[in-house]
Amino acid sequence: QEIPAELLGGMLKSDSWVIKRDLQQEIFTGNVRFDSGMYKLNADKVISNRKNNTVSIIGNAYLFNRLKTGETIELFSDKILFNTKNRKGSASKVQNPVNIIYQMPEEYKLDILSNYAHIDGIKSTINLKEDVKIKYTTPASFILGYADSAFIDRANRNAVFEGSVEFDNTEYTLYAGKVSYEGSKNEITIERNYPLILAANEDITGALQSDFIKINTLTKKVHARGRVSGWVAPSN
Amino acid sequence: MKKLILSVLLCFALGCGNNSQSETDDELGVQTVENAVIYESQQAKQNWILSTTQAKFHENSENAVLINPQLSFKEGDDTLSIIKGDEGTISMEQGLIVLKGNVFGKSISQNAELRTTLLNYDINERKIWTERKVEIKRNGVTVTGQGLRANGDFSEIEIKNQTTTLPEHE
Repeated sequence: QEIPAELLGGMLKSDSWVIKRDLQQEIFTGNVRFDSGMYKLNADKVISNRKNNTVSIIGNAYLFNRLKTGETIELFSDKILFNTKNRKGSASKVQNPVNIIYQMPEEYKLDILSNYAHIDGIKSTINLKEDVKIKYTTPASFILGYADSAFIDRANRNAVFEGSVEFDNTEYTLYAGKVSYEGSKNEITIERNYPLILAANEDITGALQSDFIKINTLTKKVHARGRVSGWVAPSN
Repeated sequence: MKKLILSVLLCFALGCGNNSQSETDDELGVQTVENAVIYESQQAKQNWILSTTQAKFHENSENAVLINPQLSFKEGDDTLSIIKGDEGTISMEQGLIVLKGNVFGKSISQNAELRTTLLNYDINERKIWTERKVEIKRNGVTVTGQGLRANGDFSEIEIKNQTTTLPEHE
């Protein structure tokens, strides 16, 4: 079987490695560790099944991937199932939430928690389900986010958060049923559940409530329509 | 019924040379056989064949000491693998073959090579095992471990406390 280039030079350790030739299965059990510089894997157990191109990573599963850009991706989960052919995988909570961390040193860190994550390695997308929490930090600021589900498309810099959605940072708090971000347009669209934005910074305090709100993150322009109401007042 | 052809073959299978018990052998009670071949046959198909340049049988022991033993595993007419050692023993009563020294195995079916210093083969259970350090090379991948077990046809192999080193980028 061809060894994927990114794994070359790597070292794999485990307390036991069972090869079942007829089943085309390999089972690594106990302190499973892999490191090839670009990729790291830790787990209690790994089952590779070549018949259906799947790899099951079970128990204290940790995956690390360093991209050529210097960005790193880390995945912590109780259980990960990955298809080596279509590069799709799912991570699920058994006891601990799934934790995914994207990081670009000195630029940003995106820390995501959820009960279930479906990952498309080719499209670089993630579908998050149940109890989604995100923390996005940059050297200058941070945002905390909560939702019932989320879809993140890193390649196109898009994201959609749905359900009981809330976003907080030091200046704003936002409540809505759906929040979408289109990176290519620098636009945030806020809708459903009669969204409410509360603002408080050194200059002003205020609130805006409307059925539909669109914010341009570059120009800071805000467009609201449908039952628009709100107030603004100087902070001092 | 599994037929274990042993001593008959010791002298005749390969038309082995003189059964030199006395002239060349000054150990009392030791029968030395040159170029012995021992194999297990099932429905006229050999599962394994043990050949050795010399087998020494001690009078009051059912063990034989083997010099340069070579154990081949067969599946039908195909040879699955061949394992050699510097020396070894075979115990018919226990149904146990032990290869020692520079033990080198080549699995044709798995395109793999095995190196260790001691390897056991349980004839009845058709199990191979060792608790010793093992090194296995396969398709450019090197695996070292402390302990190994496999079944007779190598359809299942377990390596314990293993470290696998994948080849570097070309």
